[in-house]
Amino acid sequence: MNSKTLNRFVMLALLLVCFATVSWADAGGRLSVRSFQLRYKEPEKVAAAVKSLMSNEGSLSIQAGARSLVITDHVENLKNIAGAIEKFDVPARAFRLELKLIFAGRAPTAGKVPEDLKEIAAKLSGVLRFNTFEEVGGISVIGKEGDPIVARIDGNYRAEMKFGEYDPQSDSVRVSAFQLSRIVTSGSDSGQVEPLLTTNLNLRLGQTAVVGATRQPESSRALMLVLTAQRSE
Amino acid sequence: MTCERFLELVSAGPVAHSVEFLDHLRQCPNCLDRAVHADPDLLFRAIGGADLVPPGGVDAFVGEVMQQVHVRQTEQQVISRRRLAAPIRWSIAAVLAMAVGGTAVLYRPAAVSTNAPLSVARLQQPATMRPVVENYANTDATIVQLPAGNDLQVVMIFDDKLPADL
Repeated sequence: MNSKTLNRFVMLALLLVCFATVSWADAGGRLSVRSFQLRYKEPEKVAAAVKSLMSNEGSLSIQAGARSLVITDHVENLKNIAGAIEKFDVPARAFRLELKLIFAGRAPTAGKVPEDLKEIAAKLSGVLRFNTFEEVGGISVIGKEGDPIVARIDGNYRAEMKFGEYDPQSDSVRVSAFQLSRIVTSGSDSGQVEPLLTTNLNLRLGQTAVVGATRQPESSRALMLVLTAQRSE
Repeated sequence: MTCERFLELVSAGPVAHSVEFLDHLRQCPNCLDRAVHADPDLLFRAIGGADLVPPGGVDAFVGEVMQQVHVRQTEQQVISRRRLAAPIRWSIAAVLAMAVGGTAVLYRPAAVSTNAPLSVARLQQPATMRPVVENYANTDATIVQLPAGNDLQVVMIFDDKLPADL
Protein backbone atom coordinates (compact mmCIF):
# COMPACT_ATOMS: atom_id res chain seq x y z
CA MET A 1 0.00 0.00 0.00
CA ASN A 2 1.40 3.39 -0.94
CA SER A 3 0.18 6.92 -1.41
CA LYS A 4 -1.06 6.07 -4.93
CA THR A 5 -3.45 3.46 -3.54
CA LEU A 6 -4.53 5.88 -0.84
CA ASN A 7 -5.35 8.47 -3.49
CA ARG A 8 -7.47 5.91 -5.34
CA PHE A 9 -9.48 5.24 -2.21
CA VAL A 10 -10.07 8.94 -1.67
CA MET A 11 -11.15 9.40 -5.30
CA LEU A 12 -13.56 6.47 -5.03
CA ALA A 13 -15.06 7.93 -1.86
CA LEU A 14 -15.55 11.31 -3.51
CA LEU A 15 -17.22 9.68 -6.51
CA LEU A 16 -19.60 7.79 -4.23
CA VAL A 17 -20.52 10.95 -2.35
CA CYS A 18 -21.14 12.84 -5.61
CA PHE A 19 -23.28 9.99 -6.97
CA ALA A 20 -25.34 9.82 -3.79
CA THR A 21 -25.87 13.57 -3.75
CA VAL A 22 -26.97 13.71 -7.39
CA SER A 23 -29.36 10.77 -6.90
CA TRP A 24 -30.83 12.34 -3.76
CA ALA A 25 -31.47 15.63 -5.51
CA ASP A 26 -33.04 13.90 -8.52
CA ALA A 27 -35.31 11.63 -6.47
CA GLY A 28 -36.65 14.44 -4.36
CA GLY A 29 -37.23 17.09 -6.95
CA ARG A 30 -38.78 17.11 -10.40
CA LEU A 31 -42.49 17.10 -11.11
CA SER A 32 -43.68 15.82 -14.43
CA VAL A 33 -47.01 15.88 -16.29
CA ARG A 34 -48.50 12.89 -18.04
CA SER A 35 -51.80 12.26 -19.80
CA PHE A 36 -53.49 8.86 -19.61
CA GLN A 37 -56.02 7.92 -22.28
CA LEU A 38 -58.63 5.51 -20.90
CA ARG A 39 -60.24 2.80 -23.02
CA TYR A 40 -62.64 0.90 -20.79
CA LYS A 41 -63.20 2.48 -17.38
CA GLU A 42 -64.83 5.76 -16.49
CA PRO A 43 -62.25 8.49 -15.77
CA GLU A 44 -63.83 9.23 -12.38
CA LYS A 45 -63.40 5.62 -11.26
CA VAL A 46 -59.81 5.49 -12.44
CA ALA A 47 -59.12 8.81 -10.71
CA ALA A 48 -60.51 7.46 -7.46
CA ALA A 49 -58.39 4.34 -7.82
CA VAL A 50 -55.09 6.16 -8.39
CA LYS A 51 -55.60 9.04 -5.96
CA SER A 52 -54.03 7.09 -3.12
CA LEU A 53 -50.88 6.62 -5.19
CA MET A 54 -50.28 10.34 -5.64
CA SER A 55 -47.94 12.41 -3.52
CA ASN A 56 -48.93 15.57 -1.68
CA GLU A 57 -47.40 17.65 -4.46
CA GLY A 58 -49.30 15.80 -7.18
CA SER A 59 -52.46 16.98 -8.92
CA LEU A 60 -55.04 15.36 -11.16
CA SER A 61 -57.38 16.66 -13.82
CA ILE A 62 -60.25 14.65 -15.30
CA GLN A 63 -60.96 15.22 -19.00
CA ALA A 64 -64.36 13.54 -19.15
CA GLY A 65 -65.01 14.39 -22.82
CA ALA A 66 -61.68 13.02 -23.96
CA ARG A 67 -61.87 10.11 -21.49
CA SER A 68 -58.45 10.92 -20.15
CA LEU A 69 -56.65 11.89 -16.98
CA VAL A 70 -53.88 14.47 -16.75
CA ILE A 71 -51.70 13.81 -13.74
CA THR A 72 -48.84 15.92 -12.42
CA ASP A 73 -46.53 14.20 -9.96
CA HIS A 74 -42.99 13.04 -9.30
CA VAL A 75 -41.52 10.89 -12.04
CA GLU A 76 -41.29 7.84 -9.77
CA ASN A 77 -44.93 8.19 -8.71
CA LEU A 78 -46.07 8.59 -12.30
CA LYS A 79 -44.44 5.26 -13.11
CA ASN A 80 -46.40 3.56 -10.32
CA ILE A 81 -49.63 5.32 -11.37
CA ALA A 82 -49.12 4.26 -14.98
CA GLY A 83 -48.72 0.65 -13.86
CA ALA A 84 -51.86 0.83 -11.74
CA ILE A 85 -53.91 2.37 -14.57
CA GLU A 86 -52.67 -0.27 -16.99
CA LYS A 87 -53.96 -2.97 -14.64
CA PHE A 88 -57.20 -1.14 -13.88
CA ASP A 89 -58.29 0.06 -17.32
CA VAL A 90 -59.20 -3.30 -18.80
CA PRO A 91 -62.48 -4.72 -20.17
CA ALA A 92 -64.99 -5.76 -17.52
CA ARG A 93 -63.85 -9.05 -16.03
CA ALA A 94 -66.13 -11.94 -15.23
CA PHE A 95 -66.20 -13.61 -11.83
CA ARG A 96 -67.81 -16.69 -10.39
CA LEU A 97 -69.20 -16.39 -6.88
CA GLU A 98 -70.11 -19.43 -4.84
CA LEU A 99 -72.26 -18.80 -1.80
CA LYS A 100 -73.36 -21.27 0.85
CA LEU A 101 -75.80 -20.52 3.63
CA ILE A 102 -75.16 -22.38 6.87
CA PHE A 103 -76.65 -22.29 10.34
CA ALA A 104 -74.08 -22.79 13.07
CA GLY A 105 -75.09 -23.58 16.62
CA ARG A 106 -73.79 -24.41 20.06
CA ALA A 107 -75.23 -27.61 21.48
CA PRO A 108 -74.32 -29.86 24.43
CA THR A 109 -73.25 -32.56 22.00
CA ALA A 110 -71.54 -31.92 18.68
CA GLY A 111 -73.59 -32.70 15.60
CA LYS A 112 -72.55 -34.41 12.41
CA VAL A 113 -70.67 -32.04 10.09
CA PRO A 114 -71.29 -32.27 6.33
CA GLU A 115 -68.18 -33.42 4.44
CA ASP A 116 -67.77 -30.19 2.46
CA LEU A 117 -67.95 -28.05 5.60
CA LYS A 118 -65.41 -29.94 7.68
CA GLU A 119 -62.54 -27.53 7.09
CA ILE A 120 -64.67 -24.48 7.85
CA ALA A 121 -66.31 -26.22 10.82
CA ALA A 122 -62.89 -26.95 12.31
CA LYS A 123 -62.01 -23.27 12.21
CA LEU A 124 -65.37 -22.07 13.51
CA SER A 125 -65.55 -24.61 16.30
CA GLY A 126 -62.01 -23.76 17.42
CA VAL A 127 -62.42 -20.00 17.52
CA LEU A 128 -66.15 -19.42 17.96
CA ARG A 129 -67.09 -22.69 19.74
CA PHE A 130 -69.85 -23.62 17.30
CA ASN A 131 -70.27 -27.39 17.14
CA THR A 132 -73.34 -27.99 14.97
CA PHE A 133 -73.52 -27.05 11.31
CA GLU A 134 -76.53 -27.26 9.03
CA GLU A 135 -76.29 -26.33 5.37
CA VAL A 136 -79.37 -24.49 4.15
CA GLY A 137 -78.39 -24.21 0.52
CA GLY A 138 -76.04 -22.59 -1.93
CA ILE A 139 -75.74 -20.82 -5.25
CA SER A 140 -73.07 -20.35 -7.88
CA VAL A 141 -73.39 -17.22 -10.00
CA ILE A 142 -71.28 -15.69 -12.77
CA GLY A 143 -71.24 -12.01 -13.52
CA LYS A 144 -69.08 -9.25 -14.94
CA GLU A 145 -67.96 -6.12 -13.14
CA GLY A 146 -71.01 -3.91 -12.81
CA ASP A 147 -73.55 -6.72 -13.30
CA PRO A 148 -76.41 -7.00 -10.78
CA ILE A 149 -77.19 -10.49 -9.47
CA VAL A 150 -80.37 -11.78 -7.82
CA ALA A 151 -80.63 -15.41 -6.74
CA ARG A 152 -82.77 -17.50 -4.42
CA ILE A 153 -81.27 -19.91 -1.94
CA ASP A 154 -83.33 -22.93 -1.01
CA GLY A 155 -86.57 -21.10 -1.76
CA ASN A 156 -86.62 -19.27 1.58
CA TYR A 157 -83.73 -16.84 1.14
CA ARG A 158 -82.79 -14.35 -1.50
CA ALA A 159 -79.40 -12.85 -2.26
CA GLU A 160 -78.99 -9.61 -4.18
CA MET A 161 -75.68 -8.06 -5.08
CA LYS A 162 -73.70 -6.23 -7.69
CA PHE A 163 -70.23 -7.17 -8.85
CA GLY A 164 -68.06 -4.12 -8.32
CA GLU A 165 -64.59 -3.28 -9.54
CA TYR A 166 -61.72 -5.70 -9.35
CA ASP A 167 -58.90 -4.30 -7.21
CA PRO A 168 -55.51 -5.49 -8.50
CA GLN A 169 -53.77 -4.13 -5.40
CA SER A 170 -55.44 -6.64 -3.12
CA ASP A 171 -56.44 -9.12 -5.85
CA SER A 172 -60.03 -8.82 -4.69
CA VAL A 173 -63.43 -8.04 -6.16
CA ARG A 174 -65.95 -5.78 -4.50
CA VAL A 175 -69.45 -7.14 -4.05
CA SER A 176 -71.53 -4.07 -3.43
CA ALA A 177 -75.08 -3.70 -2.14
CA PHE A 178 -75.08 -7.29 -0.97
CA GLN A 179 -78.38 -8.07 0.71
CA LEU A 180 -79.50 -11.36 2.17
CA SER A 181 -83.26 -11.52 2.78
CA ARG A 182 -85.59 -14.09 4.20
CA ILE A 183 -88.85 -14.81 2.40
CA VAL A 184 -91.62 -15.13 4.95
CA THR A 185 -94.79 -16.81 3.74
CA SER A 186 -98.01 -16.83 5.69
CA GLY A 187 -101.12 -18.64 4.46
CA SER A 188 -101.96 -17.79 0.89
CA ASP A 189 -99.47 -14.88 0.87
CA SER A 190 -96.81 -15.32 -1.81
CA GLY A 191 -94.16 -14.18 0.65
CA GLN A 192 -92.74 -11.04 2.19
CA VAL A 193 -89.08 -10.19 1.88
CA GLU A 194 -87.42 -9.57 5.24
CA PRO A 195 -83.88 -8.13 4.89
CA LEU A 196 -81.37 -9.76 7.22
CA LEU A 197 -77.96 -8.48 6.16
CA THR A 198 -77.07 -5.49 4.04
CA THR A 199 -73.38 -4.89 3.43
CA ASN A 200 -70.55 -4.31 0.97
CA LEU A 201 -67.97 -7.06 0.73
CA ASN A 202 -64.43 -7.32 -0.55
CA LEU A 203 -63.62 -10.87 -1.59
CA ARG A 204 -60.07 -11.89 -2.31
CA LEU A 205 -59.99 -14.19 -5.31
CA GLY A 206 -59.49 -17.83 -4.39
CA GLN A 207 -59.90 -17.22 -0.68
CA THR A 208 -62.95 -18.49 1.20
CA ALA A 209 -64.60 -15.82 3.29
CA VAL A 210 -66.99 -16.78 6.08
CA VAL A 211 -69.29 -13.97 7.18
CA GLY A 212 -71.22 -14.89 10.29
CA ALA A 213 -74.09 -12.96 11.80
CA THR A 214 -75.67 -13.33 15.21
CA ARG A 215 -77.25 -11.12 17.85
CA GLN A 216 -74.68 -11.58 20.63
CA PRO A 217 -71.28 -13.26 20.92
CA GLU A 218 -72.84 -15.80 23.30
CA SER A 219 -75.86 -16.50 21.07
CA SER A 220 -76.43 -20.18 20.47
CA ARG A 221 -77.24 -19.78 16.78
CA ALA A 222 -75.57 -17.89 13.95
CA LEU A 223 -76.14 -17.46 10.25
CA MET A 224 -73.00 -18.14 8.23
CA LEU A 225 -72.33 -17.10 4.66
CA VAL A 226 -69.49 -18.97 3.01
CA LEU A 227 -68.32 -17.00 -0.02
CA THR A 228 -65.67 -17.83 -2.61
CA ALA A 229 -64.95 -15.61 -5.61
CA GLN A 230 -62.96 -16.83 -8.59
CA ARG A 231 -62.09 -15.37 -11.94
CA SER A 232 -64.35 -16.77 -14.64
CA GLU A 233 -62.98 -17.21 -18.18
CA MET B 1 54.54 3.62 38.06
CA THR B 2 53.65 6.82 39.83
CA CYS B 3 50.21 8.38 39.92
CA GLU B 4 51.41 11.41 37.91
CA ARG B 5 52.83 9.22 35.16
CA PHE B 6 49.64 7.14 35.08
CA LEU B 7 47.46 10.26 34.69
CA GLU B 8 49.71 11.50 31.89
CA LEU B 9 49.23 8.23 30.00
CA VAL B 10 45.43 8.36 30.56
CA SER B 11 45.28 11.97 29.32
CA ALA B 12 47.20 10.98 26.18
CA GLY B 13 44.20 9.02 24.96
CA PRO B 14 43.42 5.37 24.09
CA VAL B 15 46.75 3.61 23.51
CA ALA B 16 48.00 0.10 24.08
CA HIS B 17 48.75 0.01 27.79
CA SER B 18 51.63 -1.80 29.40
CA VAL B 19 51.53 -4.36 32.17
CA GLU B 20 52.79 -1.68 34.64
CA PHE B 21 49.94 0.66 33.66
CA LEU B 22 47.34 -2.06 34.32
CA ASP B 23 49.02 -3.09 37.62
CA HIS B 24 48.83 0.52 38.86
CA LEU B 25 45.21 0.74 37.75
CA ARG B 26 44.33 -2.33 39.80
CA GLN B 27 46.20 -1.14 42.89
CA CYS B 28 45.33 2.61 43.06
CA PRO B 29 41.62 3.36 43.64
CA ASN B 30 42.06 7.12 43.03
CA CYS B 31 43.70 6.61 39.67
CA LEU B 32 41.08 3.99 38.75
CA ASP B 33 38.34 6.47 39.56
CA ARG B 34 39.90 9.17 37.38
CA ALA B 35 40.69 6.74 34.58
CA VAL B 36 37.08 5.47 34.42
CA HIS B 37 35.85 9.02 33.92
CA ALA B 38 38.32 9.48 31.10
CA ASP B 39 37.83 6.06 29.42
CA PRO B 40 35.25 3.47 30.73
CA ASP B 41 37.03 0.74 28.79
CA LEU B 42 39.89 1.01 31.33
CA LEU B 43 37.62 -0.39 34.07
CA PHE B 44 36.91 -3.40 31.89
CA ARG B 45 40.63 -3.93 31.43
CA ALA B 46 41.26 -3.33 35.19
CA ILE B 47 39.10 -6.30 36.14
CA GLY B 48 40.80 -8.49 33.56
CA GLY B 49 37.95 -8.41 31.08
CA ALA B 50 40.28 -8.35 28.12
CA ASP B 51 41.55 -11.78 29.07
CA LEU B 52 38.09 -13.34 29.57
CA VAL B 53 36.66 -15.77 26.97
CA PRO B 54 32.82 -15.99 26.70
CA PRO B 55 31.24 -19.42 27.22
CA GLY B 56 31.17 -21.39 23.96
CA GLY B 57 33.99 -19.31 22.50
CA VAL B 58 34.22 -15.89 20.87
CA ASP B 59 32.71 -17.02 17.57
CA ALA B 60 29.55 -18.43 19.25
CA PHE B 61 29.21 -15.24 21.32
CA VAL B 62 29.54 -13.05 18.22
CA GLY B 63 27.00 -15.25 16.42
CA GLU B 64 24.45 -14.86 19.23
CA VAL B 65 24.97 -11.12 19.36
CA MET B 66 24.48 -10.80 15.60
CA GLN B 67 21.36 -12.96 15.81
CA GLN B 68 19.93 -10.65 18.47
CA VAL B 69 20.79 -7.66 16.30
CA HIS B 70 19.00 -9.27 13.36
CA VAL B 71 15.92 -10.02 15.51
CA ARG B 72 15.78 -6.42 16.74
CA GLN B 73 16.09 -5.05 13.21
CA THR B 74 13.30 -7.36 11.97
CA GLU B 75 11.06 -6.25 14.84
CA GLN B 76 11.66 -2.62 14.00
CA GLN B 77 10.77 -3.24 10.36
CA VAL B 78 7.53 -5.05 11.27
CA ILE B 79 6.52 -2.31 13.70
CA SER B 80 7.25 0.38 11.15
CA ARG B 81 5.19 -1.53 8.55
CA ARG B 82 2.26 -1.74 10.96
CA ARG B 83 2.49 1.94 11.61
CA LEU B 84 2.32 2.58 7.88
CA ALA B 85 -0.75 0.34 7.51
CA ALA B 86 -2.86 2.25 10.02
CA PRO B 87 -3.66 5.27 7.80
CA ILE B 88 -4.61 2.94 4.98
CA ARG B 89 -6.99 1.08 7.27
CA TRP B 90 -8.49 4.41 8.28
CA SER B 91 -8.93 5.37 4.65
CA ILE B 92 -10.66 2.02 3.91
CA ALA B 93 -12.95 2.57 6.88
CA ALA B 94 -13.71 6.09 5.67
CA VAL B 95 -14.53 4.82 2.18
CA LEU B 96 -16.82 2.11 3.56
CA ALA B 97 -18.53 4.60 5.86
CA MET B 98 -19.08 6.99 2.98
CA ALA B 99 -20.32 4.18 0.76
CA VAL B 100 -22.80 3.02 3.41
CA GLY B 101 -23.86 6.59 4.13
CA GLY B 102 -24.22 7.35 0.44
CA THR B 103 -26.29 4.22 -0.10
CA ALA B 104 -28.52 5.13 2.82
CA VAL B 105 -29.03 8.61 1.40
CA LEU B 106 -29.63 7.16 -2.04
CA TYR B 107 -32.34 4.73 -0.97
CA ARG B 108 -34.03 6.88 1.65
CA PRO B 109 -36.44 8.57 -0.76
CA ALA B 110 -37.86 5.22 -1.86
CA ALA B 111 -38.25 4.06 1.73
CA VAL B 112 -39.71 7.00 3.61
CA SER B 113 -40.26 9.82 1.18
CA THR B 114 -43.63 11.48 1.07
CA ASN B 115 -43.39 11.03 -2.68
CA ALA B 116 -43.95 7.30 -2.29
CA PRO B 117 -47.18 6.84 -0.37
CA LEU B 118 -48.15 3.70 1.48
CA SER B 119 -50.32 2.56 -1.38
CA VAL B 120 -47.26 2.00 -3.53
CA ALA B 121 -46.05 -0.65 -1.12
CA ARG B 122 -49.53 -2.12 -1.13
CA LEU B 123 -49.42 -2.29 -4.92
CA GLN B 124 -46.32 -4.44 -4.80
CA GLN B 125 -47.54 -7.04 -2.32
CA PRO B 126 -50.88 -8.60 -3.20
CA ALA B 127 -52.53 -8.99 0.18
CA THR B 128 -56.05 -8.57 1.53
CA MET B 129 -55.62 -5.06 2.79
CA ARG B 130 -59.30 -4.23 2.38
CA PRO B 131 -61.66 -5.56 5.05
CA VAL B 132 -64.01 -8.32 3.95
CA VAL B 133 -67.01 -6.47 5.39
CA GLU B 134 -66.46 -2.94 4.15
CA ASN B 135 -69.54 -1.49 5.77
CA TYR B 136 -72.77 -2.72 7.29
CA ALA B 137 -76.30 -1.32 7.38
CA ASN B 138 -76.51 -1.12 11.17
CA THR B 139 -73.66 1.11 12.32
CA ASP B 140 -74.20 0.02 15.95
CA ALA B 141 -73.25 -3.57 15.11
CA THR B 142 -69.87 -4.94 16.11
CA ILE B 143 -67.79 -6.43 13.31
CA VAL B 144 -64.87 -8.68 14.20
CA GLN B 145 -62.49 -9.89 11.52
CA LEU B 146 -60.45 -12.84 12.75
CA PRO B 147 -56.80 -13.21 11.68
CA ALA B 148 -56.75 -14.56 8.15
CA GLY B 149 -55.37 -17.91 7.15
CA ASN B 150 -53.99 -18.49 3.68
CA ASP B 151 -57.28 -19.68 2.26
CA LEU B 152 -59.91 -18.80 4.87
CA GLN B 153 -61.07 -15.50 6.29
CA VAL B 154 -63.70 -15.34 9.03
CA VAL B 155 -65.71 -12.24 9.93
CA MET B 156 -68.41 -12.12 12.61
CA ILE B 157 -71.17 -9.53 12.77
CA PHE B 158 -72.83 -9.07 16.18
CA ASP B 159 -76.04 -7.16 15.60
CA ASP B 160 -78.79 -6.76 18.22
CA LYS B 161 -81.28 -5.88 15.51
CA LEU B 162 -81.09 -9.24 13.80
CA PRO B 163 -84.26 -11.35 14.19
CA ALA B 164 -84.20 -13.62 17.22
CA ASP B 165 -85.25 -16.60 15.08
CA LEU B 166 -82.49 -16.27 12.52
